[in-house]
Amino acid sequence: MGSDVTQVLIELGQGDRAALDRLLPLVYDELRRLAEGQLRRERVGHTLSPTALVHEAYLKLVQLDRIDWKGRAHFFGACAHSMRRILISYARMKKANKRGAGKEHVPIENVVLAAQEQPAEVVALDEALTKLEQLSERQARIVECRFFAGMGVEETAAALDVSPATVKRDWTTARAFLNRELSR
Amino acid sequence: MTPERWERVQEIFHAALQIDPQEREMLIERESAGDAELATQVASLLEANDSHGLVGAVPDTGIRLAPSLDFIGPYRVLRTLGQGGMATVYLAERTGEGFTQRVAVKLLRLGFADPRLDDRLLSERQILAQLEHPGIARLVDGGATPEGQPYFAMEYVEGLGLTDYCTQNQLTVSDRLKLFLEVCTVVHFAHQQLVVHRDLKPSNIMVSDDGRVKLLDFGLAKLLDPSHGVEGATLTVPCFTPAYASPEQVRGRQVGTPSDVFSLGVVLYEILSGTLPFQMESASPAEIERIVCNTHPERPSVRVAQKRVRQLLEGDLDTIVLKALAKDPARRYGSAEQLADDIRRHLRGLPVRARPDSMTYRLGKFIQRNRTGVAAAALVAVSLMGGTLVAGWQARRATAQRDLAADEARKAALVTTLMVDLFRLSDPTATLGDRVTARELLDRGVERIEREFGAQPDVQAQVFTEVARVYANLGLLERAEQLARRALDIHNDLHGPESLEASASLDQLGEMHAIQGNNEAAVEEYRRAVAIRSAALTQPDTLLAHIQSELGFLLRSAGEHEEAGDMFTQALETQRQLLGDERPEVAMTLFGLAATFHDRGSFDEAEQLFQNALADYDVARGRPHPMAATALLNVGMIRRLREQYRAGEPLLRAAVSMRSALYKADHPDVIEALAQWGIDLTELGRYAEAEPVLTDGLERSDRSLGVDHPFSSTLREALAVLETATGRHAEAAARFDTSLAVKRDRYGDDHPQLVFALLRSARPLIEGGRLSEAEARLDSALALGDPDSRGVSDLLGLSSKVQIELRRGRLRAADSLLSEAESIARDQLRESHRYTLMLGRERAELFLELDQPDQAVPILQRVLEGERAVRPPPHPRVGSTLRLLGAAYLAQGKGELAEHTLHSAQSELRELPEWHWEVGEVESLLGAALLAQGRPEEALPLLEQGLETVRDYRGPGSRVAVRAERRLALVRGSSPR
Repeated sequence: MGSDVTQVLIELGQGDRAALDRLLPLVYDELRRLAEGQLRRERVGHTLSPTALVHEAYLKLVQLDRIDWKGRAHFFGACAHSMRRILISYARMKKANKRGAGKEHVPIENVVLAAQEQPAEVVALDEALTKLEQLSERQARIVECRFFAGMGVEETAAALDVSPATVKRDWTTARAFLNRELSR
Repeated sequence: MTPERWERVQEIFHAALQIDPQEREMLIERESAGDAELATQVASLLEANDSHGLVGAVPDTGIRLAPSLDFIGPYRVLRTLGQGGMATVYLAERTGEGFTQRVAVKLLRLGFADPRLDDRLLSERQILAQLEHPGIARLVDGGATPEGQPYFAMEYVEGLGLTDYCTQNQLTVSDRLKLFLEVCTVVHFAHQQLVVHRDLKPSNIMVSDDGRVKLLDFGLAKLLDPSHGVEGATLTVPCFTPAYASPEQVRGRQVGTPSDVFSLGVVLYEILSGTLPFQMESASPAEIERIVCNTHPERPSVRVAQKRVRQLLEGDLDTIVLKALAKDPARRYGSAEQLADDIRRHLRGLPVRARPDSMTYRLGKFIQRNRTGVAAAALVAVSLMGGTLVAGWQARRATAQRDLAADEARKAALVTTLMVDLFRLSDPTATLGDRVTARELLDRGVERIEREFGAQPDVQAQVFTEVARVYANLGLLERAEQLARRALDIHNDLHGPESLEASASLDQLGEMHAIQGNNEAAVEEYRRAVAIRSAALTQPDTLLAHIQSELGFLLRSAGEHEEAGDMFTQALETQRQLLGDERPEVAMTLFGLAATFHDRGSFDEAEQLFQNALADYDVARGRPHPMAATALLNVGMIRRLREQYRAGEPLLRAAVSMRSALYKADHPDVIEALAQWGIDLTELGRYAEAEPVLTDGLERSDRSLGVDHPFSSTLREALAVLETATGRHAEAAARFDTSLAVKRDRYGDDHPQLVFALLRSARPLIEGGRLSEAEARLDSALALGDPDSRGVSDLLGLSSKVQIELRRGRLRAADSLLSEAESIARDQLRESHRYTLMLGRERAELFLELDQPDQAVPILQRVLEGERAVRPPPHPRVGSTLRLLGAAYLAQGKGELAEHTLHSAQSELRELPEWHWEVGEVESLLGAALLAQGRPEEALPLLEQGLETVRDYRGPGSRVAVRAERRLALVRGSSPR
């Protein structure tokens, strides 16, 4: 569908009250639709990375030339969290379906692919992330942005309104923490 | 572990990362000071950091580069020249016959296979290829890697960046100014070609050894739209360097040539004073915005320690630089050329045109900014929509010539602030834990409006109205209603209960009631709204027409056909006059009017109007839009009412998918569309497809709208009809009981709304042999109708009673009931109407019972023709007709013809379960047809099996079972060979 968050915002600006109605469902549902479509696709070779999915959602929803860089970062930040929820629930389901399908531990690079191929690992990742959340909310958010939306350091910094240096530092810590938790 | 302790662990961890691995142990020991657990924590983290864990290194860039980058397009990569925010630049070369071309290849980070992006890049390249100037690095080529990452190949420029060049060559102030003048000339040239640079900074301004400047990276600029004279679309996302970015750039506003003038001002500031005007090392985006937009830089001269140089800058040069750095684009130099011109005047000792930025001006700006009361965060969005929102509101209120501008601006700003908040959901400090729902966001917004705008009730009312709509669309109906009511109360207080404002709120409230299925309350609100508006307006407007139309639909379903018809007629007149004929609103009103005629039994008028409504709306047009979805639904329903089931089905399916795309799964509009689609599929005999649709719809409706919502009843009854058709009469009867109980509860025992439910509920009872119960229901339904004008409901009731009498074998009673029904059909229905056909089938059945097959056959042939026209195979109803026709042929002694017909019947009945009595009856008849042709061996199993099925289903004493038994007795009686 060609609905367009930007257009909705602009239409709203032009006094079209109906535009408001269309805004929220668009942002929430589009990503879910994309991700689910992706996850349903069987051929692994065509699995997109979360980056690509989020970009796709962004391209679909926002006219690139009419939104500012902070709006973009916030949009991505929102996507990151949704992606986590979508992928985790998918991985849970998948894990339940293929219990004990012993897979070797390979690093998770594409979390969409991993949700299909290594659901147990993705679920474990989520659990570790929940632990991290209790220690540092910000670090958990940073992991979401970097991992579930494939955002760069700068983008993550913009989305969370912290400095890039903080993102880098937190990311190092968070990654070490997660790897430690997951190797236990 | 506590967050505080985690802080401490991290501190040591990061400190350890900084030092040689061999010294880490000592550091940990020292820092943990005997706290063994702390030491373990740090050590295990360090270990995890060194090992390759499950969580791999996510690259810094948003997209991963190809593992080994040997070639980008045709260019062989030599080395990396630099990395920027949005791209990596490589030195690369292309070797052809007898030439080697060195280029700088800029590989963009953002990029993947998207055709739109390709198109943009292509047009970009064409434009930039034409931007030829000795001072601009040429664009050589461009394309995308196989991974879909776009790249540009640009002329490779050797030299130094502007600041480095100035420093290394120890240029004097006037030499620096002369060099800067060259930069201005190049930028001005590009501006005249309608290209804006957007990222001017010293590292993009190269100076070759012979002192010529060359500007890089015009690849990020974007053609100015010549038709509008303003900056149009950017290449991808806005990308700039914060230290050199203009206020409009960091705010995400439209960026044009004045933005480049600002950046030139920063560059000039830097080469003259050796410092940047704004200090924003490691600042967060919000800080950057605050600094760039609100901080006024010191005069460059202040930054210079050397007294001689400071004196050179004081006065004119300070003024020139600060004018270029004005926050307001309109106060900067009008062009790079004007900036250059003032510098030239200064160099020649002429008075410069720039005037110092006065304190009063700045103060004035400050006050203006704060009076609007808009939070800094909201500014971004205000720029996007503030102004136009005001315009929209004013247009709507063109009648009121009050001074609304300030008011409206305030409201616009407020709605904007709320919207900004909605989009801040990624900000963890602002969220409520990690599960922020749309609802929480809205709730927070509403709280703010309550808290902060109590003194501005008109603003509150406006925002409540808007937010109520959002709630409603999220299916949060109670909350929506609360807010709508708040808005109404405010309007009553402010403008009086007879005001147009109040009537608009009543309309919204009515809509909320209607969505919740509270039709009486909705009717009440709508009636009041119509009365107020009719009295207050000299000419009816579109909102009045809209309310009338909505009211019409509710009145129609309440059985108030007369008043409904009036509402639709008035609404239609206004809408046609003000909107023209081709609007979906008109089609909807037409549909309502047509449906009302249909209800009243005025089928010809209804049909004419249906035709008009269909012609008026071109279904094919339009993107997902609530109005388009509704129009699809209506036209689909019109087609169904006109028995064009096949033509209606795709429209209803499209309505379902469009509404599913627009709303949540359990939104009333989605549920409504599901119901209509499911009903259509049932009519098409596609039971297997219809059942999950209806079950799903009913489940959603019961759960989110409630068992007593009209949509739940519609779905429940539709499912019951399907179950009746597929032989599950016990389930069906139970469903109808629920639905009837709900309706009795809501409307009372003798409401017209009950008629059709009572009529339909009799069918499964008849099927289950509960004939007297069925009869009682039919009688009470018939009693509710108007005895003076009998209509379609009476026809249906009579027809069901015919079925009862046929099963009882009371043929005379059946005959007289049927004759009565037939007379209604003759008066009101066309010959091919499904009810006419239904009566025809019953008439034929009666003839068969009376053993007059010659009378039955032509009737059945006509019925068959009519049914086949609208019901695609396989359809059980066609199957029933074929079954009767087969029986008639058999009775005429035409065994072979009967056999063919019955085979067709079997095929049409294949959607029914094998234990359905009709399936058994057809088998039994087929057996008899074979027997009639002297094939007893084939006949016997069919006759036996058929009898068994019929007996199990209808009972051993039923007339149909007794007949099947007789057929079996015939084969047994015939002599075995």
